[in-house]
Amino acid sequence: MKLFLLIPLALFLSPQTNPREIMIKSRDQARVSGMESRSVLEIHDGKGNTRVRETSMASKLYADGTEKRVIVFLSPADVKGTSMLINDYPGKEDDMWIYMPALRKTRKIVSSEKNKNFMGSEFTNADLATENPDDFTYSLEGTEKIGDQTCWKIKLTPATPALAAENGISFKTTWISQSDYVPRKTVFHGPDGTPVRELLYSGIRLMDKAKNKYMVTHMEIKNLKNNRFSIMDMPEAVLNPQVKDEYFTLTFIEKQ
Amino acid sequence: MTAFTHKFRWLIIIVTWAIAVFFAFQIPKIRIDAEIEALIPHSMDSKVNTDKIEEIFGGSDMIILMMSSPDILADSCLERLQRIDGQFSALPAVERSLSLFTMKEIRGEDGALVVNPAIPEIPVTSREREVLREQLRKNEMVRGVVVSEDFTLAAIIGTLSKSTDDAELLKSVHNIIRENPGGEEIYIGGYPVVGQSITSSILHDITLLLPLSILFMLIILTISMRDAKGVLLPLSVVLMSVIVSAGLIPMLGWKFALVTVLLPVMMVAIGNNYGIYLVNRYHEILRNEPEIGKNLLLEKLSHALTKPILLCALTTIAGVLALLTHIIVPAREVGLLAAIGIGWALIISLFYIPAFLAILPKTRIKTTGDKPHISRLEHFLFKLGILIARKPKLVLVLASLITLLIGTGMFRLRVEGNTVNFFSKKDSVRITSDMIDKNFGGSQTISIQFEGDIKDPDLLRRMDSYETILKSQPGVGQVMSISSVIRIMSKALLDPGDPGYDAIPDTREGVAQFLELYSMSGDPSDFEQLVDFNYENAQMIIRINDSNSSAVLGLVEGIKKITSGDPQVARIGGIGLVSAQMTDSLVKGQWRSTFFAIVIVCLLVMWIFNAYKAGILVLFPLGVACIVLFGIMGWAGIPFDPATTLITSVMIGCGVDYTVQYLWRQRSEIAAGLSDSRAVVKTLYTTGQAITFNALAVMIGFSPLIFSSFSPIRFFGLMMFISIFICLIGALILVPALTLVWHPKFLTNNK
Repeated sequence: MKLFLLIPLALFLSPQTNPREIMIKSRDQARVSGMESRSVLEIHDGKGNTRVRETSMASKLYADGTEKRVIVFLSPADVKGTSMLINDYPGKEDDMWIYMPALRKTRKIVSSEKNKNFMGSEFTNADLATENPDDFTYSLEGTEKIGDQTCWKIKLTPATPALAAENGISFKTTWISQSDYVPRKTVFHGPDGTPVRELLYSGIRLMDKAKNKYMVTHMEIKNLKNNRFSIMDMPEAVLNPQVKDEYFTLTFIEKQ
Repeated sequence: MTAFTHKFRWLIIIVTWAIAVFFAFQIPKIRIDAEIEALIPHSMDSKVNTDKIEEIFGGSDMIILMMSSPDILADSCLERLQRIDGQFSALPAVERSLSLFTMKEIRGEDGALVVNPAIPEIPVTSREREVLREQLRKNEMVRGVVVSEDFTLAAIIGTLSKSTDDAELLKSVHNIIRENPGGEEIYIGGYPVVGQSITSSILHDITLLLPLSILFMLIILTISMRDAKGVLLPLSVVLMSVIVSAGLIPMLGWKFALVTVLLPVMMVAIGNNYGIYLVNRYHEILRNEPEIGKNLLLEKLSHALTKPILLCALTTIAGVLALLTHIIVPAREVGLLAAIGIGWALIISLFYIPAFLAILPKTRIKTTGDKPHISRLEHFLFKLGILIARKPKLVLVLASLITLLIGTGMFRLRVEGNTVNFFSKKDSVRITSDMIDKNFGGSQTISIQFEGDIKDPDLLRRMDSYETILKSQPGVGQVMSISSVIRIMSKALLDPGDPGYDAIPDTREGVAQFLELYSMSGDPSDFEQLVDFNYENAQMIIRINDSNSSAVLGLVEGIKKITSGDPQVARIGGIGLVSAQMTDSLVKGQWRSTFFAIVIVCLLVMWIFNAYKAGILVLFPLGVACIVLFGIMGWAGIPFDPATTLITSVMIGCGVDYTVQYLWRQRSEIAAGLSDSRAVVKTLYTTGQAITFNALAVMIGFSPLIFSSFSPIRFFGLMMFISIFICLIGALILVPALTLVWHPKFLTNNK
């Protein structure tokens, strides 16, 4: 009887309360056709020591869904000019190349790991890449306030054990603002279910009012096990759908 | 004193028991400290260096889980290993864990840098399994580190945070293994396991050895005293001295270490002497004067025994106090606690026993009216006295020859400071440790800390050359440093034949870019053990599979030689070095405490007899006892270890009594008019008998130690038994012969 009542209710469920839809909408608002930015990454060891990495980045979204990114190190001096080209394909493994000026050599990096750390920080490549909605199952855990924003609290569980192993998590919980669909917080849970990392998003900037595109310009991630934390700031960012295609070539990164 | 004891007899008894009860309440607060670090002074170089290195690079304590199977790559094995690894890595105490599932494969392939997990997927078919085997064989980051060369063992190595509660950790690890059952054998090794095994063995020893030594003592007392008073009074003295000395441990903020196991047994073996003397003499007086009044009886008892007992206790206290000069911290603590315990046993023997005797009715002594019976022992000692009196020089020459012959064993003496070797070869602690040494480079480490700009190619090249030399040294299992990581990166990034392949880059930028690339490929904490966050300090970790202290110290000397003149080598430390230096210190501590014990005891004897020659006279049997003791240890393969290095001090403290008692009686016999030879014979069959009983009681008192779980404690029990016997021979054969040859004046001046 109860089940009978629930079926029509599910049919009339609005997209706003369907966690999968919320997550897709959240992903889409963050995807831009082209962007250029400068980022400052601070890596803290939790004992008072800090490393700072300054990079410039350009990204472009192609019609087939491929997102290409090029990252060039600006500082510190000993790694200046080190560049990376990342092609994020929908539905297949990413391609990544690195150019090291000291070696004058470009190397392709082949890796199946998504939970690899980004530039030695507490961020992983997966944290910064666009998620495939089919990689997770979703459940809405209610609403909660994060700062002044009312957020949906959504639990994302990897769809298969292989995906769980690849991402290095058993599940993650993310809080999506009901007003702009931008995440405000994500907590990652390790294989044993205990929280291992906490990611906070702030400095939300409206980049394109017409297309309702937002950008997170300040992210802080904390490793709950060893107290290391990293901060990524984006002091300069401009939307530029016309980013030159030549940026996303090996020839370009080798010139830097 | 008798009047005082009589007047305040109730007060003395009540106060004595109240003190015992007070100290008894402290005993539950005792904590066990099985850490090797508990043994060593914090000022020791290697300890100071290790602490500084650990401050920068985190704890170096490891726990190692080993899974054993005919083929470790079988899917069921790997699945189980993966489950265990996942849960183990998540334990809060585990700072970092290395395993087949956390480590990477970094290699160059077709112009690409391949960074993958060492096991990307668990193989199912035999073909997949062989492909993986080949990959792992080529992966120098995992082969011999987390998987054995023959693929029968896989290891999960956890580096632990400094504040780890070992007991809790091991409980969690056992739970994880229980939750993931399987046919493969799983071994757990590393210092926390050794420490916990020592802790549980200490508990086992306390609960076994103390009751056993009390039982042995009860048997001795029952046989020699044959009445309740004679058994219960010395027993209560012993129990109270054990309680006071043990109760002091937490009060002084100390912990119960491995060598502290000796304390209660030592108290039982030594503490009963004074009570036995008193009750024995009490019986003797009553036998001679059955109708004597109680007050007069106690007065006679006090008059006859206060001084000899006092002297006897003082020499023992002086001997054990020499342990205060020992290098091992718990040995010093045992020395002080034993001295206080013996002091307390002396005080209560002199006050509490007479106070009790004042309350209790006199013992009825059965007199048979027969002629005095001459025991076999008396007869033997009489014959011995005659022999010595006739041929004192021959006795001395023979004794010297035997001493020299046995003493040659000293050159075979070895030292053992590795706590793992305190367990028997069949013990799982020892088996696991041997497996780690054989297959995974060893569970002990030596660390070299480098200071300066770690990205400097010159420094890295020097580190690389040190690493190459060290890897070829015997006893070195593995060497890890940031320079080896950079070389692995160079092999993965460049092709064979390229300049810079398998080498340190020529420029600082090259090094920085390699490191940056690695930090993108691995976990940010992968490096923590090898280089600090700001690249200002680096650590070279040398895992040793031969933890024999002389090998380790030799290796450290080699390291110093190789790195001499390198201004960037800041310090050398590591638990392996701490253990080796402690072992080395054991020998120094042994000589030092032996020297001090002999000096203190000789000075005391000089004071007792008011003659410096008396001091020289006791030196002879003590010297002989030490030489014979070390000789036997050498011949029998018994090593110097944290416990056996305590023997000489305790032996000297106990053994000198026999010489003092002997000389005291001989002097009084000469004073009474006997010739030197006759005095020797009489002293031997009278006091000689008491000395023999006394020595036997001490020997039997120490014998329960042979049931200990630890070889050092067992050896201590065995060697105490032997060394007291040597002291007995020294006092009853050597000293009489020496007095007859030397005729020291202090023995005849009282005439």
